Amino acid sequence: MKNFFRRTPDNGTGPRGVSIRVRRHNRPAREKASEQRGISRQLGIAVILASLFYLAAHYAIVTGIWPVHGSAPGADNLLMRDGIAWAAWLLLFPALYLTGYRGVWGIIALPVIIFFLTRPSLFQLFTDPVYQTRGSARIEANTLKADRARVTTILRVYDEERRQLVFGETGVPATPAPAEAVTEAAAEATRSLSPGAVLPVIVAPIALLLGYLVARHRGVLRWFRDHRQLPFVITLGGFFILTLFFVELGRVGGTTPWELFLPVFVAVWAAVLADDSYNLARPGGVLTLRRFGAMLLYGAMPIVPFLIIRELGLSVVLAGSFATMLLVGTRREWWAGVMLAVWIVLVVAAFNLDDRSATRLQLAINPYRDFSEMTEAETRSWAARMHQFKLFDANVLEGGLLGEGAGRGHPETAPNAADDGYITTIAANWGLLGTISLVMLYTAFIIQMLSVATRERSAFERSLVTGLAMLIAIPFWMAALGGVRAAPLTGVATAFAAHGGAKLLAASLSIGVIAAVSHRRANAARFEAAAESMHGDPDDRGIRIL
Amino acid sequence: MDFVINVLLRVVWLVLGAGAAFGVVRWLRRAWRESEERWTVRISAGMLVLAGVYTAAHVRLLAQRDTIEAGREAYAVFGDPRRTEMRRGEVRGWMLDCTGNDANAFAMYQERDGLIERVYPIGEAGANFIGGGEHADERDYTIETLFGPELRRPANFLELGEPHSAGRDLELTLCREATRVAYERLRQSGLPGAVIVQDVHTGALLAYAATGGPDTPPLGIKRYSPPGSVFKLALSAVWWDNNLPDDIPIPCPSSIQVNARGARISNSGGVDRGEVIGPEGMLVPSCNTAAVAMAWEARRRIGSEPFINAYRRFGFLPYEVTPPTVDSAGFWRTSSDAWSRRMTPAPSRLRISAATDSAEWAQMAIGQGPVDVTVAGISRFIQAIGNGGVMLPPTVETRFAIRPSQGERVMRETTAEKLQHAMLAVVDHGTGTGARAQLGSTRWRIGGKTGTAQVAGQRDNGWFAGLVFDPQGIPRFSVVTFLEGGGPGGGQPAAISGTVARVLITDPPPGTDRN
Repeated sequence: MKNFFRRTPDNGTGPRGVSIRVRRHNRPAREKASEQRGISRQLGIAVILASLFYLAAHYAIVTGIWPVHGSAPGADNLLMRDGIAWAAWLLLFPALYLTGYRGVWGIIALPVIIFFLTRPSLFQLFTDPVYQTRGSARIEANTLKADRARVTTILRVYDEERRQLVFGETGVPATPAPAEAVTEAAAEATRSLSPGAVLPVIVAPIALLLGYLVARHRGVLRWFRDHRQLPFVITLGGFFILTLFFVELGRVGGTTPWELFLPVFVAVWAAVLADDSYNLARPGGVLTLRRFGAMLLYGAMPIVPFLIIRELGLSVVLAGSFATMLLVGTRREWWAGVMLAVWIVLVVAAFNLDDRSATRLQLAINPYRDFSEMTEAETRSWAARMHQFKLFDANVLEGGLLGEGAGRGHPETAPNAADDGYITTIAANWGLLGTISLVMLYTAFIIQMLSVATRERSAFERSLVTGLAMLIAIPFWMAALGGVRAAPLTGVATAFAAHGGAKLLAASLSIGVIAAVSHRRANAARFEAAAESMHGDPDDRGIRIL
Repeated sequence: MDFVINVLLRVVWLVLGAGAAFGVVRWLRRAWRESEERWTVRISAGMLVLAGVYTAAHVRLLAQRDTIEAGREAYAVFGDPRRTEMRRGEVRGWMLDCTGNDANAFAMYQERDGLIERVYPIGEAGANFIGGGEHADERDYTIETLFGPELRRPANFLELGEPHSAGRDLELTLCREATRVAYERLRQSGLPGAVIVQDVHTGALLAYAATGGPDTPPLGIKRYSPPGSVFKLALSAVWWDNNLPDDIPIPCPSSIQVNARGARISNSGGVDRGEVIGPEGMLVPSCNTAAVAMAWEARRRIGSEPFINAYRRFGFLPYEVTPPTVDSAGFWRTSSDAWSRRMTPAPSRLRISAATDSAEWAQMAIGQGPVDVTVAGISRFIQAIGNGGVMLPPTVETRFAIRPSQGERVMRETTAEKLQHAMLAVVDHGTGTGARAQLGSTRWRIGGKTGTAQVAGQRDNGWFAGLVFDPQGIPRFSVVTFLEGGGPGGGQPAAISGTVARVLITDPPPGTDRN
């Protein structure tokens, strides 16, 4: 562990049976970097800062918000869960170090930092006594919460003389307990703390580690590439069965497992691209029945079930990821032109033919339509649709430049503030500068993943990493830009920053795979450098590093 | 503690965000130069562009704050849980009266049926000006609403980090008992009306009471009426300010013809008083015909311009054709832009120019014709008389009353003293004796001027514009009472003024010497 925060590079390590001893001053700094195992000092400090932030923010919520607003039933369990998650994510670093991880640490550290920074805001939402209630119960719970807030504030601030004037002879009344007073609300809140909702946060670091440990063996990805039909058929078949027979309001048993299918489809598409990238790079080569059929089967078919269940957002995510992989896989500008044209046609069609999409666009442009020109029924309908947007806007305005603080503000009054509107929750808590910081951290995270693709020499791995990165990047931008009405809101989940267990698991697994690819590339580069320093260019000498 | 933690947490956000931005730019610069894998680098650059788009969109929302708030306000009728929670859960500051005592607060919190509610102890007496009544938060003529941001501002540094911070108290210059009594007397009269009491040395409003429901604009600030004979004070001020003689005999016949077509102005009751001596002689019995003669004589001697300038200084805006509807000069001394914008009175005004004919000139002399004033406008003028000729901007905020502004001299000190003397004489043995009785055995005195304004088709409006003098003979308060249809001014308006003055004498605001 002494080298975890790297200060001194280790010497003399290498594959079994080969003893390489290289004098330190003879090696370029770039290659030395690939040899170093520990996380960089800057990243290490950033992780420590973020983890302290996580603890302090939770503390500020528990001591500052709970007494004022009350808390949802099961809030203590949620606190414990977040504590375990904190430890689990931090333990990931020594675990990776001990397993000999040599890849890019940024792809591990940045999502953990993002998780640590954003999770307290979600914690506040889910422990709020009102957030998870619905309908009239929500109204009642909201009223009780407000009454409680007033009483507790008065008790906190007023001196004895003023309290006497307020409470008179009757003394201090009982403090309202919103969740306990509203049975339905309490039941709802408890449901949100079921194992299905709690486990992903704790299991995600393990999923990342497993993804890394499994995928770092070259044979695993090679097997997948060579036998792509099998996982494709199984996943697509399962997907169709679920969508046709088990979906209720876009959910299966109260969960949305679709996110877990996306990495499989991306991996299959990467395999298709890797095997046929030469032909796909030529316009003439694409226009054959076999090739066109393969593109339809592996590129278009996985999107169909999403359209069936009207998960327009995820279909955009998948299609966008496929398109990006195609660009990276073929390296041809004309594909960008073709896809841009297709994208424009699809967008125009969607916004003209699909009422739901058209409404979302209108909501993004101007939710505050002048209802003097609408009928009463139209007004009521529009008011119901824009309800969420006006509260998201209120979050943004409330946060202003620096935000209200940990769990402060009133983002919990907005429906889906932990999902679609998570960025506005962050805005309410941490303001414009906080959300810009989050956006920059996420941008850095995405770029770190793409940097792995940039360095990768294998076509399959490069496309795979690009696709997995896009599965994380596209939802982030859709939700972030949708939250501030720069794009229509689609309801896709953002990994690490927003609520969504399946998304968190899928993203963690994907990062594990990307970490494995990065680790292998770093190892390969290290051996190449070592070989080169002894005998010149390894390729010239016929040396192949496996 | 929470505040400090949250400051540190913000610092963490900013440090990590800045570090990420630095790392992104550094990586992109290097990759753009060195990497052969162009598309991944281009896509990475695209991510940075999207970060810029996000920032611009977020800033745009903040810049559109007013528009968005207006939109939310419009759609609030369809439900807005955030507003509900924040309104119901908030703890605004209390509105304290001139004593600063919690027990005398105009607005406070009290338990009612197990709920803690915002209450307004003087009830409807303050509904037209202070707050309270149904939909108190939606009306925008009250201190409660217009000083809302002030009342919601965190009370101190430690409150900044609280989810529901306790608001800051607002110390008002208004005295609760005087306001309550004034309203009660107005209510008993059964007539629309208003009472405004000011501290003449600070401009502070010590009492404001007006009839009218919570939904009606404050009558004392927004309602016009001719001032009637109260305006003779302004005429006298012009006279004395221009060094016209004190002891000139002025005829006071029962009526006087004011134009060639035979139009006449008469004294109240058609009384012929022969001659009166100077402006005070005209003011004490409120002789209309003497006022007309004085106005004509003064115009003959000094011309129209000094009149126009003087009336402007007194706060009565002169105009020739189109009556002004907005007074561009600041009326209130206040920290609230909303208050200043919403509660600036309709400008008191009169149509006057060098071309004004003699009949209209005559009408103006007795406060009739093209003269429109508000109670607030008259109150400010009387305050200037009581303050030795220096007019101060009125205020309802104690912080400004403690440190009054320099004010503006609108008449000579000697003029003000002569007016004060005349006003005392009016109450001692003139038309305003009705105010004197209320002071009883106190050593305080009240002076004033009555006014009975005729409005076509209505009963006469009654005015009493008074000054309350302490036992040392120093003016302390101005008291102006207006009763619509409640003329003559020497009747109910004078009695109400006396009653309110008595309350302030008995229980004077801090800083006032009772003896």
